[in-house]
Amino acid sequence: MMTQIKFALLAAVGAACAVAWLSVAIGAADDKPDLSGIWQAVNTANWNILPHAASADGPGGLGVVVGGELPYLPSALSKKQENYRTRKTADTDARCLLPGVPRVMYEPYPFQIFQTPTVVRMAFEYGHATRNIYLNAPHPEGPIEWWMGDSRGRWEGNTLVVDVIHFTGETWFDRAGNYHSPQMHVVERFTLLDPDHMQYEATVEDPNVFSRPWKMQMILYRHTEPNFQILEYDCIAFVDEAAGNLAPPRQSR
Amino acid sequence: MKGATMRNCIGFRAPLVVAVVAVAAALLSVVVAGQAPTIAGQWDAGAGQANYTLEFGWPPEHAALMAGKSTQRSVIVDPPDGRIPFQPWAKAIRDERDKLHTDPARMKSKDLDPQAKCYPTGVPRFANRAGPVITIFPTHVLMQIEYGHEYRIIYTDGRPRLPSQIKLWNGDARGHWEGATFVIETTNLNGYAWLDVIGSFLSDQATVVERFRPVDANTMQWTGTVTDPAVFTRPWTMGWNYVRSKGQETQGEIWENACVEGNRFPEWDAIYARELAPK
Repeated sequence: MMTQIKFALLAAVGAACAVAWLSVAIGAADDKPDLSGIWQAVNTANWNILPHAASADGPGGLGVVVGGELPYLPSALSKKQENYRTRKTADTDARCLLPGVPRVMYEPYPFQIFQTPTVVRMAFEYGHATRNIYLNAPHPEGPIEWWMGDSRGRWEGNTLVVDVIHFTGETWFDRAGNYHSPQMHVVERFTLLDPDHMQYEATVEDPNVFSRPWKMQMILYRHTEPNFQILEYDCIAFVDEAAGNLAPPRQSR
Repeated sequence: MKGATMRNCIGFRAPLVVAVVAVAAALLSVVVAGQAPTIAGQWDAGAGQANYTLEFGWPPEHAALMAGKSTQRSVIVDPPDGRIPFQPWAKAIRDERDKLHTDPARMKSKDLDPQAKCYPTGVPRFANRAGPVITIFPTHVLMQIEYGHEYRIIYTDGRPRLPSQIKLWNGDARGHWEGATFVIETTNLNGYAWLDVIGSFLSDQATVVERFRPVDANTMQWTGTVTDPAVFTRPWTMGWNYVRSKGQETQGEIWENACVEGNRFPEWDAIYARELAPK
């Protein structure tokens, strides 16, 4: 009797597996790692991507740039120094503007990944920024200047590789004023290390600003708190809100 | 991870629950791949001139500016007179905003449509804009519109609501399915967003119930019912149909609408400089 039940169970499992394989074969599901969920960088790269001690600007950190140095062209250094001097007003964070890529990935706010076989979408709490990473279509023809660039993805084994071009020259890498030009080319690599940790790498190439490509690397952490959800960080309205211009009118009594 | 399930299949070590889930998922995928109408996908604006006024289409001056014709049509289906059932004090405020909205010299920040400042649409006005792009997942639904790269994440997994202290532009949305119709109940609104250009509004006490119903392969009916005893005399409902987008202009993709970054209403910069900028 027990043997019969075991056989029946095995048969059921076998049939289920066959159906599961079939659904993969017809493209109803795919065998790619599932990056879906709510993630956040836990580092201080948003303040400075290079190694830095704590200061009035923010917490200290080991930096995320591989090798700890940025290969600025001599001609590009004065702009970096100017950015540093004006950072408190000129940085996109100070103005609540879109932070660009790769910076949006390590803004200190959570973001959510929505994965399908044809597009990986990302929704960020900071400024309700989004990325729509199309997997089966080429970059649109330029010249285009988009604050978040144009992202096109592909799977290399278990790694999502995203090619990003069509930037503006308005966004920086951090509050310290490290910057790029509209000619920047970013290649990102998202690799799940285990269900709750993801390796994030971005290789940056920009012949107007840097003498060679360089790479940043960090871990993204999954939010595992029960019922965690993205809220809103619409800082653009904070001044107006504080001035009392937004609260809904109430009946005077 | 689906990969892990399949590795288990090879070794016949998968527990029965995995098998049952796999069968259910396979059946579901067949249903989804079928021809049943769905709200998933990209939709073109259905609201017509409702973003300007919910009650009467473009006013004559605006129609002239747009070299077009006013529909003079209300999108409000209940009450039958097509008017928002404002309490008298609230109607007076809305009408004053309507008078001021074409007079930027007299306008103060509080008189200007938050959308002209590139702030979030709020709910229900999210539905007035072009789009949405709807993606359905087992525990949540993602809706995106091009305007200001806005998105809504609507949970369908029965989780509790956010604490009432947390008020948001687009509120806290919980959804459920009635067949192929998606029903969203939104609370926790901050009441900052207007309902149209001329200044119709709700408060942070409002509840908005929306129904997204696929009528056929290319048509989606939307209704939004607003209940807010602080502002209205009764609940009221607006509605329109969306048409499935052919997406020619952006090859079916969502392209960047960087509103805050530079596409603002030009008068807003002047008002901001007058009132809010550090002197």
